[in-house]
Amino acid sequence: MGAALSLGEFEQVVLLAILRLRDNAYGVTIGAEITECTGREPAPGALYTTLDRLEDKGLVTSRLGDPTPQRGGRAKRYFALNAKGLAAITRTQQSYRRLLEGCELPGLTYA
Amino acid sequence: MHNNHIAEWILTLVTSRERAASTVGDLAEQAGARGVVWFWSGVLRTAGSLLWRGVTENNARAARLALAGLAIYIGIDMLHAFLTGIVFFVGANSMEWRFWLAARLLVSSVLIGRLLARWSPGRELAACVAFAVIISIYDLTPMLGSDGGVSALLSILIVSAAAAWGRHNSLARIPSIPVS
Repeated sequence: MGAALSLGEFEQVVLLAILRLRDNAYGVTIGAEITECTGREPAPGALYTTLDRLEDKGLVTSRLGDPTPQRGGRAKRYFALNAKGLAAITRTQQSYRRLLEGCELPGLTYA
Repeated sequence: MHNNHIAEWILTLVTSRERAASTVGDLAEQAGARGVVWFWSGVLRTAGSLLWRGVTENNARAARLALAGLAIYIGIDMLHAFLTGIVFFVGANSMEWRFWLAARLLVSSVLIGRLLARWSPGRELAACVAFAVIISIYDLTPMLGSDGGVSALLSILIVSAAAAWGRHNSLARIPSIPVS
């Protein structure tokens, strides 16, 4: 078995946002989803750099959609998790879950 | 009124044409609500982040490229010093001297920029950033660089322009992907 790919905190946030958005995950919606769920607005530089890095690592794939007038005729770049990305985020979240089990955090209950 | 083409050109310096276009599209989509300042801030911060990523992701390679650029710079510096001795020997006035100095800086910087672009396809400006760090240290260190910070700054600007020129030449040879 190969070495597990480590994911940074923001990489996990971006992967989970893509997973939540399903077929509608592109730069604008990913940023909005992160803001809504975490209360932190990601800087465009951080978001696009992370998306590029995740794609270069082979954790997400992207495809170009249709160009629209409000985007100056530029196509949206839709992202989706592939099997490797799904495995990486699952493994990382399982580790967090194991750490959280038995912890008493205000407002959070883990059996 | 922001100019999407300029923004796309800036991002194309540090990422692929398709990624640059979709990123500018995303920023333009939000610019209506957030304003022009936010748009340009987003473009420049994204370009800066992608550029820095290019330097840090493979810093050993960036350092090797920067040192190769420095070796060329020093080599041309030494050749220049040797030829300057000949120029003085035959007797040159100050105008000729200024032209000679400018020609050395221009020739070495354009050569280094084009070579960095050729050796580092896709990461041209990242190599220039690494070279900028090395050349600044070299030129600002007493007893090493002879001309001080001004020539280092000029050299960095010309090297970056030459590398950007090399990048755009190489991108022009790649056909763009048609959008369905």
